[in-house]
Amino acid sequence: MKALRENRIYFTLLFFALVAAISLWSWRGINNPSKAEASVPRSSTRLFEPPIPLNALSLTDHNGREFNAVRFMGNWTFIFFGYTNCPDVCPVALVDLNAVYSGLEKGYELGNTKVVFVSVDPQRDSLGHLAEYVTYFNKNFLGITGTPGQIEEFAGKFGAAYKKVYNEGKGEDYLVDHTASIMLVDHLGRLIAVFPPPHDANFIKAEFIKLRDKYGDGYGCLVN
Amino acid sequence: MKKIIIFFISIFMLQQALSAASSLEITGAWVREAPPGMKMLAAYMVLKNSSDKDITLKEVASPQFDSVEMHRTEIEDGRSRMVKQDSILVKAGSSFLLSPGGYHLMLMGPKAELKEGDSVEFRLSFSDGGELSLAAPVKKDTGGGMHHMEHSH
Repeated sequence: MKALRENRIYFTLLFFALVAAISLWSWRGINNPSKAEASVPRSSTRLFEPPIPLNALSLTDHNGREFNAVRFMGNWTFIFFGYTNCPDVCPVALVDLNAVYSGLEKGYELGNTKVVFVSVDPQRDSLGHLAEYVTYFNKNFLGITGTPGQIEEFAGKFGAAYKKVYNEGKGEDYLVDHTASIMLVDHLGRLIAVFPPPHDANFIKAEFIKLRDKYGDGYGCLVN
Repeated sequence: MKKIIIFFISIFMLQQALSAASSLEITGAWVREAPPGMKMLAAYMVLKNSSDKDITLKEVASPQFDSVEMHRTEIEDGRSRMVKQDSILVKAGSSFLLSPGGYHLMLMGPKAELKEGDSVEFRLSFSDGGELSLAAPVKKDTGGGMHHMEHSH
């Protein structure tokens, strides 16, 4: 009789241990962030049909030349807004843009595709510094910036926003919250597509080629 | 009867002792090489907690930078925002990913320019008083699937 009771306690304990082990195991699975990571949404596109004309713009490129709406004509231009002290989002986007750009066909798409990085931090990003920064990612990339007023006007046309955020206890050091979408301007200087983050270079390249096929590649337009 | 209870208690205690010994493991740590003159860099890694206790990363320091902070890039309506994290909780039995476009270490004020091939020393302090030192290589991010993916090298 005593042995039977002991056996019963033994089995009860064993049962609870088993239940505990199973629940712990399944709970671990649920809380594993690397599994959640797999459900990160894929890239998407916001298309503007018809595309939105961008006119009367004026900024300065990293070679000191004026960058106005005429510079878009005959080219397909990817635009990204950011700042050079941006440690994560901007390099990630520029590496993605380099992957898109480097994957284009030489002598065809590559011939009139441009990548332009717009610095929204003219206080710290001199033209020289901007030149060094963008050409690090690809020697053909172009950095542009201007006065705070010019940048505000330029960004406004793209619906891009940015705001300085002072880092607590770090004095004058600041970060900049900013629109992290990749924008695409067509060969007629119109905003045609916006690619919100996270970005997938292969997806953006495929969408880009589709848009060129649909709207014309732009060769034969005024090229500069 | 007593023997059985003692047996279970001792198994339980042994398990606790074993899990405390193998607390946190760091894999795939790397520092993104930055263009010349950059004052802010980012580091990424995987924190793997194979114990059955939650572990909180409280502080990170590096002798090669003025300061190191834990940050998260948050995207809202297509806008990015860097949100400072006071700590990072690595739950029992799970991995926590610091990767481009998400959680990362923000490295501020490099004392010397870092190039691919260099390495950065880090010291991580945890809430239980534990500390971990590691050296992370500086690498060029060449894209092509490096983002949002676990590193295992």
